[in-house]
Amino acid sequence: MTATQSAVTDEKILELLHSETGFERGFRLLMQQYRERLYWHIRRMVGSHDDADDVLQNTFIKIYRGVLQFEGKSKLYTWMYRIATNETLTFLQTRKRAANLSFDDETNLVATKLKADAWFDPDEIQLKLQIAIGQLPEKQRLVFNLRYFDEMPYEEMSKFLDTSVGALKASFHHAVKKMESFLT
Amino acid sequence: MKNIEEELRELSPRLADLRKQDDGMRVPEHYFENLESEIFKNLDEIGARRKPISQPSPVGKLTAWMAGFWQPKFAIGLAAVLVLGFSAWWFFRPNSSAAVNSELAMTQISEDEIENFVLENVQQFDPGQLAPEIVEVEIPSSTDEVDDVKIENLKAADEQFLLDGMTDSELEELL
Repeated sequence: MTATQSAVTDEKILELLHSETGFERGFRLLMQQYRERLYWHIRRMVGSHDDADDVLQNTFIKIYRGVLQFEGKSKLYTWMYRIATNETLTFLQTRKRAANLSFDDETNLVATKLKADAWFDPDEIQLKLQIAIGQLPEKQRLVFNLRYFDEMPYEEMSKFLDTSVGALKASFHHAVKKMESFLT
Repeated sequence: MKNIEEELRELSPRLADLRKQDDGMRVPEHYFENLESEIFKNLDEIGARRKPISQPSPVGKLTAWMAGFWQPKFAIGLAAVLVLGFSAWWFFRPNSSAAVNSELAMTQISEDEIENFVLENVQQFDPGQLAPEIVEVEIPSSTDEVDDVKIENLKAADEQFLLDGMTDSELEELL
């Protein structure tokens, strides 16, 4: 999707959301437009489909409640990504606290959950990759995923995560080196 | 700025290759198509769903149009028209309660009472008041001009009036 197409679509969505009778239609259009991108962003952070589904539903409920307060200072997509990311990090923190896990336990939990997920069918190397991603610290995992899978430019990531471009580049390079060592 | 492919090739050719492979992550069939209804179901359950605003019905439109008349300037004008209309009707209505009351009172007075009243007040009566009543009646200038037909056409009151004004001799001549 090009930036121009996205802008036109966002305009149309926002126009419907702010119209007297078009709110629900606008929200359906918004979900259709962004559900898959948000799902995969969340899924790569949490691992399993069931957890991703829970977080995505909460994300859309928050978007539904707050979209009329969206001021248009950033792209609609960036604003929603931020909500999805906050929801995901909250979920991961809660899961970690609930299980009271050490680092080794957490690594094992990620691997166990991935292997048990009926909606994950990887070959050996992909399983190793996903387990390796799951072992990165949350913020580093976020930067890695946004760059590696979503191909988000550092400048956009900088606005979205409120972090300098240099810090983000360093974080990504660090993550890649860790992944290399996990995979060998 | 380098794109992700160039950047990864420099940092880790292995990760750059893995990126192009199927990652093995799947979703249930029709998951994304059913997601909308799941989310609206959740919104209903927590009571967060907005009530859809429907287009107003013709009755609703009429009500909204009429509501405009309850603005102060229209309401005052409407009240003034209603007051004037009611006053006009009250003033010009055919049977006022005063007329009805006087007719009712007359039926309750006996003829004797009326006669007594007339006899007591006859001195104060000005015959000139009857002039408009008898102007249509040809009053003969003399008894010569009075014939039977004319006398029969006279009303009782007129007849009494004429007889009162005659002398005995004129009366005898007439008889």
